[in-house]
Amino acid sequence: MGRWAGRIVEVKIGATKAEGGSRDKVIVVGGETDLPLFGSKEDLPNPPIISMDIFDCKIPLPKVLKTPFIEVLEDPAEWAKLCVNKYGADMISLHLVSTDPNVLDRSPKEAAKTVEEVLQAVKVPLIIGGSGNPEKDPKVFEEVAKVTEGERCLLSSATLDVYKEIAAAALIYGHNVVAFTPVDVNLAKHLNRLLMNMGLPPDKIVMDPTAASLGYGHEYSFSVIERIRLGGLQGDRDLQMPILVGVTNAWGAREAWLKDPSLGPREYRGPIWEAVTGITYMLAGADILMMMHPIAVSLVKRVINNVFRGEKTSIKEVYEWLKEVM
Amino acid sequence: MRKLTPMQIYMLLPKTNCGECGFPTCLAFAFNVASGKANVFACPYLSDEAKRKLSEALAPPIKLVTIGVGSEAVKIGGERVIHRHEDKFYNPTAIAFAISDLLSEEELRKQIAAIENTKLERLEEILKPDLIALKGSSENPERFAKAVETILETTSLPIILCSFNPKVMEEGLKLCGSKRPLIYAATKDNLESMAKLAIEYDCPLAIYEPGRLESLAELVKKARNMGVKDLVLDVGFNDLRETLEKLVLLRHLAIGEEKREYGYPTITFPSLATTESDALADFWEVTVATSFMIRYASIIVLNSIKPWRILPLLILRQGIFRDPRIHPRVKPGLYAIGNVNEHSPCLVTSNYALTYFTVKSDIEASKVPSYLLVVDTGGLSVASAFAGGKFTAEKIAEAIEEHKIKEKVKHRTIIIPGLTAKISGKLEELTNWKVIVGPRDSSELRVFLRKISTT
Repeated sequence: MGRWAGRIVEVKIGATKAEGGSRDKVIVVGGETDLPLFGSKEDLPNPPIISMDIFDCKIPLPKVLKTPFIEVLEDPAEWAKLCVNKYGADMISLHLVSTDPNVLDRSPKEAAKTVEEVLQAVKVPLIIGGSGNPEKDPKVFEEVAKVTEGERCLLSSATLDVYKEIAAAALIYGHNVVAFTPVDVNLAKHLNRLLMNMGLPPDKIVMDPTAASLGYGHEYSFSVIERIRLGGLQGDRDLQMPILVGVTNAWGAREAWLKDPSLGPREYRGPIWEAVTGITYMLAGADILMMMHPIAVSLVKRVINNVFRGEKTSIKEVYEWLKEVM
Repeated sequence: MRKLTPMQIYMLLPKTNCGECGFPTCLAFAFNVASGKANVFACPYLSDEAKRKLSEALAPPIKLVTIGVGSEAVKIGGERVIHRHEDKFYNPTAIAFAISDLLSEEELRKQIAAIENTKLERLEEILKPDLIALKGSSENPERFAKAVETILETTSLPIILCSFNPKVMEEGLKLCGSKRPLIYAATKDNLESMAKLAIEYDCPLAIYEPGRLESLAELVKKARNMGVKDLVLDVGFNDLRETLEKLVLLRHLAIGEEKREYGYPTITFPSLATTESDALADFWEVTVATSFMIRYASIIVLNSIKPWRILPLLILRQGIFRDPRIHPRVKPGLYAIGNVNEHSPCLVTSNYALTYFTVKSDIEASKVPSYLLVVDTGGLSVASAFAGGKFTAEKIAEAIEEHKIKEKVKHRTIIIPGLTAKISGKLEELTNWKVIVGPRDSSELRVFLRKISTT
C-alpha cells in the first residue's frame, strides 16, 4: 500500500572471506516498509531468520526440549552442526552461560575458545549471548569480540545498565549489538539513542524488546513489537532497527512442559507453545527468532516460506472437507 | 464520520444537566461518551431522533453478530481498531469444532461431550470452545436433521450449520432455527435460497466467496438488499498468505476506509490445512489457526478436539483480547495464605496476576501455611521483571520493610524464586535475612515447602 514514510534499517550479520570474515554468506535483516501481510511482497525484502539457541554448559532444560540434542548437550560445536545441518538453522545463537560467576565462572578466554570452536564447526553467522551478569558480561564481550574480529557477529546484549563496553567492543572489532529492554517502547528508544550517541550506527543495532512466553505477558510483548515497528514505519528513527525475539522463552510457561495428562502429552505441548509464540511475534514484525525445538522451527519455517517467500501451502477444498467424516 | 466529537454528542443530548447518567452535566457526559468511558444510552432522556443518529454514528465499523441464544450465545465482530494498542479488541475469536452428520448417534454424543468437557480456569475466567460446526457430509436432509436433533439434546452450545445445499440447510433450520445458528454458507450459486432461509428463520448468514474481495462485496450487497442483516464473511482458503492478506485487507477496508460492505465478522477454516506428513498435520492446524486469530478471524473452525491443541489457542485468545490498558496485576503487599503463624515460611514473588494466582494455588496445594510477599514489578512476571531489572534485591529489601514482615514472623528467612538465584547474596547483604533459593517453577513448591517445614 506504500502507506508509510519510514523504512526499517537493514543490518548485515556475518562476513564472508572477501569481507574479512569466514562465513559462507551474509544474512541481511530489516528493510521493511510495512507490517507483514499489510502491504505487498516488496514491503518485506528480507524474510525473518531463525537462529537456533545453543549453550556452552549444562543448563536446566525441560526433558522434551533436551531430547533432540541429548547427544550434543556438552559439545557446543557439535550442537551447532546438528542445528544447521539437520534442523536448517539460518544462524546459531551461542549463549555463554558458563561465564556467570554463579554458574561455572569460566574466564573470558575460555569463552572465546568456545566461540572459535563453533565458528569453525559451522559457516552460518553467529549471535553471541552473554550470561546476563552485569559485572562479567563486559569482560566476556571484550575478549570474544576481539577474537572474532571481522566476523560481524551480533552481540547479545546491551542493556540500559551495561551498554558502553559492549558498544565499544562492537565498534572496535566490527560487530553488531542487540539492545535489550524490558517490554517498553520508550526504554527501547532510549537505549537505541544511548548506543547511537556512542557512535554505533543504526545499521549495527538490533532491538530485543523482550519476548514473553505465550500466556505469561505474551500480549504485552506482542503489542510492544507492533508499536515499535509501526513507530519505525511512521518515521521515528530511534525505532527503525530490526527486531529480535527470544522465542525459546516460550518454554518458561509451565503449560509447555508440566507433566499433566489432562493437558495432553508434553511432547506436543512444548513444541506447539514455542511455535505459537514465535509465529505471533513474527507476524507482528520480528526479524530474528531465536528458537530451540526442531518441530517448532519447522512449523515457523513453513509459515516463513509461505508468507514471506510465496511458496504455496497445500489446502483442502472446503467442499471436499465437508464430505469427510473425520 | 464514525467518531463523534464531544460537541457533536452534546448537541444531541437534552442539555438539562439532570445528572441521572452519573455525570454532573450533559457536557461532562458528552466528553466521557466521546472518549469511550461512558455509554451514551445511560442518558434516559434521549429523543428518538438522537437515539437513531447516535447509534448509527457510534456503531462499530465491523458489525456485531450474535450466534446462538441465551447464556451460551457467542458475539463476534463489533471491532473498532486495527491494532489492539489503539483501543482494544472487543469480541474474542470464537472457536468451533467440526463434527459430521455421517457419525453414528453414539459417536456424535461422544464428540460433543469431549467438546463440552474441554474447560480451563485461568486468571479467574473459564476458557472453553464456543461453537459446534455440523458438517452436512451426507448431503441427506433427513440425516442432517437427525444430527441436529442429537446436538440439541446433548448441548446448549450454539451451532454452525455447514452445507451448500439449501434443502439440507432447511431441514436443519426447521429444528434449530429458533436457536440462531449460523448458516454456512451462501455462495454465488445459492445466494438467493440461502438468504431466504436466513430471513425466514432470522439467523446470521455466512457468505463464501474465494475469489476477489469485490465479488464478495457484490454478494454482500445482494444479501443486504434482500433483507439479511447479520452476515459473516468467508474469503476462502486456497493459500495461507492469500487468506491472511484478505483478512487484513478486509479489516483495513472496514475500519480504515469505512466501507460498509466489508464491515462484517469473518469465518475461517484452519481445518482445511494439510501437510505432506501426518506427523506435522496436527501441529500445522494449530499453527494456521494461530495466524488467523492474530490477524482478525472472528471464527476459526477446527477438526478434532485434543487438549494440547486447543490449550495454546485459548490462552493466546485470552491475552490478545484483554484490554491492553488494564494490566492484570494484584496489589503489592504481604498476603497470608492458609492459617499462618509467626513461624510460617515467607516467600516472595511478582505482582503479575497470573504469577500471583499460580504461586498462591501451589502454596495452598502444599498445605503449608505461608506468607507471600508480592513486590511491585509493574505487572510483569518474575522472569520478565528479573530480566528487565524490576525484580531486584533492593526492591525486595524495601518491600520487607514497607510491609512490616518483622512484626508478623519471628524468623528472618525469605524464599526467593529459583530464577532469581543471582540476587541472593545482595539480598542477604541488604537485609541481614537468610535467603533461601526456592524452585525455578512454583509447581515444585509443594514438595519444597513440605521439606523445609519439616526441617
